[in-house]
Amino acid sequence: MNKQVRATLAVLLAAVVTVALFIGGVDDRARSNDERVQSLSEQLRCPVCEGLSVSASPSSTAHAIVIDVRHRVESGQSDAEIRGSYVAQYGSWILLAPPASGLGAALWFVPIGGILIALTLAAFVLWRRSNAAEQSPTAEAKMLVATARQSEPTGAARSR
Amino acid sequence: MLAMVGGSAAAASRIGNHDDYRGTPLLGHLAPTEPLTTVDGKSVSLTDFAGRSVIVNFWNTWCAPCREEVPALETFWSRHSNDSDVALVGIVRDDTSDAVRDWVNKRRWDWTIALDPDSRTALAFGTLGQPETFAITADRLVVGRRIGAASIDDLEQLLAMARGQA
Repeated sequence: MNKQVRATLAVLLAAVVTVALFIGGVDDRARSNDERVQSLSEQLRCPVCEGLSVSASPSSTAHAIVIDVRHRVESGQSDAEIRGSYVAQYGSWILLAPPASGLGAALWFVPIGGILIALTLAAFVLWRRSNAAEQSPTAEAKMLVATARQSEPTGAARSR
Repeated sequence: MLAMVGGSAAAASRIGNHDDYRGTPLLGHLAPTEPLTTVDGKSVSLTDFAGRSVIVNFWNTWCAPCREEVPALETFWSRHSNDSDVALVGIVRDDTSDAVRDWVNKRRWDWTIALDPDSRTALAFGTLGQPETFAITADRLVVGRRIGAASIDDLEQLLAMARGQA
């Protein structure tokens, strides 16, 4: 693998790790209660609507959920606990994004795995091409080419 | 790659479809016991009915399917109000206490009617609206759920489930 490809892959990997660490490192307590309520309301599906989040729904059930979420946030529950209690009451469909466990995990990891495999394949193909371009002919090959050229009739001889 | 994306999309559509709406993750688990206030101002919780098979009915005065199931509820209670092992608990969500009091007095309902002004109990049961009816065993396990207006047969079936007979 040449240096350019290795450098590109290293930068990509570093970017993925940095983003993952940033997302994983965001602490519930680092955000205000209002921000947490808003974020959770966007993650929970309105149970009486079609494809709307609790935050986007004007229904009385969605409004009740927002109030309940606020109550839970203010009583010290973490985001994971609040999501978990809604999953326990309604099932995993209450989450607009699938959970990162069980079947839901496949939804996260299959596309990521696919992208990684595609990147690896692309890097391999690039490496093969750059390797082939950089390969210089051996002395034997040079000699064969020279011999072939000598034995070839010249352009003038052919025209006669 | 295409196969992976396709598989992922298929799994996503399974999670997104709501075929399991009718079930409840609460089945086989203890029923919520949030404290409530009855329409006549007393404190009540499902723990107060320990040892009895309980039918919990979420309803309110303005919803049409709730009105539709009124005859079934009244027939059911006329059959079982003297059964010492049975309780019927109506939990009202999304309604005013005055409207509920008028309704209950007018119809002379004498089963427990509790108010759930912030819908916390309704949410704890994972309800999707009203009416919804749950069967709860004497040891407080949720064993059945009916979404929508219940018929007398539905209510009897739920009671059989709560009694462990179905």
